[in-house]
Amino acid sequence: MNIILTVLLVWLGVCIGTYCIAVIQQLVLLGPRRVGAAFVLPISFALMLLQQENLVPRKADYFLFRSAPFIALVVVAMIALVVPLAPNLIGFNPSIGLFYFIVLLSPFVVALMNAGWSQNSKEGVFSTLRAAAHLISYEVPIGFAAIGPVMAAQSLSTQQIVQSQAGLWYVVWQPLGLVIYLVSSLFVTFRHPFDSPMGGSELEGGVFAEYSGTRLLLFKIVLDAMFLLLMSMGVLLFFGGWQGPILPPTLWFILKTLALAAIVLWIGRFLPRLRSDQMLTLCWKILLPASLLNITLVGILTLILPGGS
Amino acid sequence: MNGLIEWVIFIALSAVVLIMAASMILTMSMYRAGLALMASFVALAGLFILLDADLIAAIQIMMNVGGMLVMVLFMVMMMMDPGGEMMWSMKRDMHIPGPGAFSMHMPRGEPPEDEPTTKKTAQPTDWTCPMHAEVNSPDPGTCPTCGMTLIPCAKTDNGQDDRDSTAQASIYTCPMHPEVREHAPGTCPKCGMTLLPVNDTAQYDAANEQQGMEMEAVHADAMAIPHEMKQMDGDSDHTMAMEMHDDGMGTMDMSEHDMSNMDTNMSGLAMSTSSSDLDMSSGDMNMSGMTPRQNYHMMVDMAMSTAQLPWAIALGIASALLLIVLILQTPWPLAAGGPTQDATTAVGELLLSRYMIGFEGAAFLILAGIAGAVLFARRERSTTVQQCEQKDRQNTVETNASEKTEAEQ
Amino acid sequence: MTGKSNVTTQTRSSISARRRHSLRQYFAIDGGSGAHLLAALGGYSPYLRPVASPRHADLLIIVAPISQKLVPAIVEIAQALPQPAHVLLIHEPTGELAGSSEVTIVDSKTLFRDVRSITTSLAEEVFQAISDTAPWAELALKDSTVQDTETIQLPSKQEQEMATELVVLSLGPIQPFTAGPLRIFLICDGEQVLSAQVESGYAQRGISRAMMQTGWQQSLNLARSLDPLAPIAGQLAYVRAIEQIQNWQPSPPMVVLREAALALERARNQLWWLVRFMRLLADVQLGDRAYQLATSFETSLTQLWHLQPATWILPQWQGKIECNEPAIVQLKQLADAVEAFNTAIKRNRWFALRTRGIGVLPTLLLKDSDISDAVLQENELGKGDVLSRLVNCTLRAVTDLRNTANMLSNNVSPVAHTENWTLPGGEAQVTVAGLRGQIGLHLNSDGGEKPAHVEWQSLSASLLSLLPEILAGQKLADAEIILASLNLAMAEADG
Repeated sequence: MNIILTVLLVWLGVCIGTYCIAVIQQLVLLGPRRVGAAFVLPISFALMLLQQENLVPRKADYFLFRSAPFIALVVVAMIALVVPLAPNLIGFNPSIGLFYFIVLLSPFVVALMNAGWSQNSKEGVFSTLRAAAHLISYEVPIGFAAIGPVMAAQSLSTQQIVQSQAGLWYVVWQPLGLVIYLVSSLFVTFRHPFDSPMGGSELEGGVFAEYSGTRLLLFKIVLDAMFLLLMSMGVLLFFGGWQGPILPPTLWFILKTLALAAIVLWIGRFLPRLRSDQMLTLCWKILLPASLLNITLVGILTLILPGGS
Repeated sequence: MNGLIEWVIFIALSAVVLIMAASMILTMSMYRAGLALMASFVALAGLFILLDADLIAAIQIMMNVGGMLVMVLFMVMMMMDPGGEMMWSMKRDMHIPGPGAFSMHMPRGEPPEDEPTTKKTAQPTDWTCPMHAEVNSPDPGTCPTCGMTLIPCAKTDNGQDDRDSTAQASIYTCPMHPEVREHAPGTCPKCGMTLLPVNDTAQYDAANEQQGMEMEAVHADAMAIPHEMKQMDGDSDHTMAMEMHDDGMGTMDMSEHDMSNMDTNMSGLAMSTSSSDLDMSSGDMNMSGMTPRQNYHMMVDMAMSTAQLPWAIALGIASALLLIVLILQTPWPLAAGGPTQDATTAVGELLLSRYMIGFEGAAFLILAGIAGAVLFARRERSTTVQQCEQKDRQNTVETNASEKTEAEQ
Repeated sequence: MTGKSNVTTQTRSSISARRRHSLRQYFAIDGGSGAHLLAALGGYSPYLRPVASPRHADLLIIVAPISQKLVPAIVEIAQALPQPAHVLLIHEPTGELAGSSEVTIVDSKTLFRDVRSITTSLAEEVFQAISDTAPWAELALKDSTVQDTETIQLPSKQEQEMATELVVLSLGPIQPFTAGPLRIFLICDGEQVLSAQVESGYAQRGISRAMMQTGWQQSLNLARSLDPLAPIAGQLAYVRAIEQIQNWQPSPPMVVLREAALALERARNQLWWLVRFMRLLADVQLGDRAYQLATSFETSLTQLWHLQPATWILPQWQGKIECNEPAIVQLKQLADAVEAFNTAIKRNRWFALRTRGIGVLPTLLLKDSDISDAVLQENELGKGDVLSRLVNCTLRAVTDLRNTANMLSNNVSPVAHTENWTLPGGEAQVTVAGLRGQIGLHLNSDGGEKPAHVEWQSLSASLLSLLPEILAGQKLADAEIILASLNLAMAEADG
């Protein structure tokens, strides 16, 4: 049926995008001299994990441990449906597309929390609580950062937001919103430097400590896919989506997404892993007031600039 | 959408809502209860989507997932047994009848009369609290420190007991750590619980396991090394396994690497959970040295429902029926067609026109709250550093003073 | 797995032969001497990645020696690895240390059915051994069960009263914060550490006892392995103690050469410690720079001496020792590079976010515990927090490198003299400036074939006893940083 085909195609696109993100990440880590390794490593990693056995720790929560990767997978698939690759190439286009996207970020973290909790280990519980603290902290800034383009486009639909950037991309007059959005997106996917729930050194893998084999592979794919989707949303909100002069829209969209991802990952290279209370400070004391300021500014500018109502 | 498919989806979603809501009440794990509530509301949001109310569905998901998450967070932080492990294992160890990991129910009926104690069980002359060994009371009751029901603790010098029980009572063991064997009453070196005579703790001794309360000692030796899986034989429980399928144990996937110990114990559990007899005064309970009456009181103390539960259920059903009848009988006006503009625009316009004051007022209050919390958040300083800095300051003052006096001389 | 025929193994190895670029993730167990090797291995190839959780690994690397106390940990970790997994055992090139009669070193053959073992201290050789496509049996433990020993003293009753609010988090004994195995129980209230209990002794080999059981010349090897990461310091302390008993003074040029060797070893330890510390903080850029510095130092060091210091730091040995001129120039350049790195650390605000203001060692506590001057001085220079400790250590590496380069370029040959192993009766107390402070040796001779009394004092052991006070009140993530900044060498601490 039509809907199944759409979902499959979307998922295929996501997989390819995830591979690209993994390659970019390896390039950033390894430097320009190891280009070959950067392309091969994600595939070898996947193969290695596929060959590993799927361990389940004793007394792990039966349902939560096994279902956590799939919940995350379902959430990512649902988010991927509303990303428009071209004017009429979109999974499904509800009128509340962006809101739907932001709402679905929470169950994603719930899946990760389940993973940490169900492992029956103390490190897992620590990571779960850190992840929950993350979720509560970044939800407001990312929502407010995304509200800027919504106010400017006067619609929650992703297609509408892209089309209303035909004159001027939003990054030009909402740079603060972009910065807040990018920082919050690092929070959402637990990327370095905000990957304290992943345990880093002290918690030996955190939420993923007890996972191995295909389940771990699924989690890694889902995390990268989430990052890809967040970057693509960022491109939609701030960089004009699929708009561009010569190349076909889909290609523009893909290029912009990958470029944004590369920039964000490259900046993360220079930061050490932050402690969780430092991350919370960042969210509540810096990002939140900044996002409120952003809304004020965008509101004023929307009223002033020609074309606003 | 096709009518039949709509019906199928509607029934599926409603079933999920009701099942999740029921499991939220019945499970002993707080974490799972929070998740079940979340799942129930998400399924409810699915019902909204069926009605084309996208915005309300999305808001429902956002509010409830976020809210329930905070609730789960606080439960895990504050509560003693958020995973339900302690309750479940206690229930299983004491062979309390009732399906699997469902909540322990209130005992029905009146407290049974005191029976004369048999020769087999030692007459408890001393009651103590499982958590606080210093509490010693001649009568059963509740612990003054934590409120838990006191458990019997027979003394070794109680010479008029049976020869067997005296011999047995000379060895004391911990309810949580059966390998601890001491010759005198006291506290367990691993977790600090009061040691009980061996025959009294027989019921805790289920297959040599170490588990139970979320106490650091248990986990200290269970989690000795990161990701060590301690060689605990006889670990057989999944708190969750019993919830959904108390008959489906054979259907669980046992092919994983670590599960070799599970098989033998699963069958044992199947037998113990098949009984559904809730009557406490039946004879197949292991009395553990307590009279049926004392047992009854302990069950009352630990039950997770109240005596009013049947009344509450009846009241709930009655209200639900009343509501259903009301809904069916009300002549709802049918709208001429679908909404003409999308919900977001409509909501936005309403918020800024009709409900402006409430909207702005709420926003202002939230802003004030956030700003206040952020501004007044104080930085923690660790006490050691503070003390050391204080000492250093004193030291510097003294050294300066002594240098001054030396310089003057 | 274990009982099956060879067919499975061969099939697997032929598969790996076809996959030339297969990724291996390893979990490393350091018995006390492998810190530098593992640090070097971590950055050697992108196809060999260290992981923090044994569940994610398919290769177990064990660096000998394995003491009896470490065996339960190894068994548990080996059981945690998912199949298919392999075991690689790495031995030190200086030979297997037997240890004293009361501390047993365990042979890996008693634990695992089949391991691949190599003797090396180079990351390249380890990588080659791992990529070798010869048949490699999978990880299989022998069937003998291992008794878990419960060694922890639990927290006091008052803390237990709040039983539901405290968590005992066990870190180790395999952890990246120290060089060697150490087990720490952190009793935490959420993210804050309330108290810590230390369980050491995993790397104990009973060096002092062993030295009293063997002859003077054979004890040299034992002295070198007091701290496997700083063999020259141990050797130098021993040799100077012997010379003190023999009442023999080496000529100034010889003293200069010995100091140069010691300083180079200190710098080596310093640089690898920097690499480990940066990896702990997951700072990619600084970590890469530190790794470059450390590896270039290693290459310069191997090219520097025509004769290795181990061969000429002997009692009463003096002779002409030549150094490679270009290597000396490289040392000078390296010193400049490390200084630049130091400036980068001082100026890096994000790095300071993680290291500034935490881990201040309480001065009074240090004075009470007779911690040697170097650490105290460091504590009083700057603020005594992790950042200033790091900066000071890096500065010391710079100083060491520069001084060494100067010393070696102005070298004068000492008057030749052969070694002499006969000792009269006597007593000697020697201190050597090691990495963390003074390493002390108290040596007693009764004129016989063996040392009468041997006693080592090292800084790691004293710092270890202070750990509970240092860590109390810190946040969990900071506790690890502080531990790492103390740069404890467990082999030295356990003795």
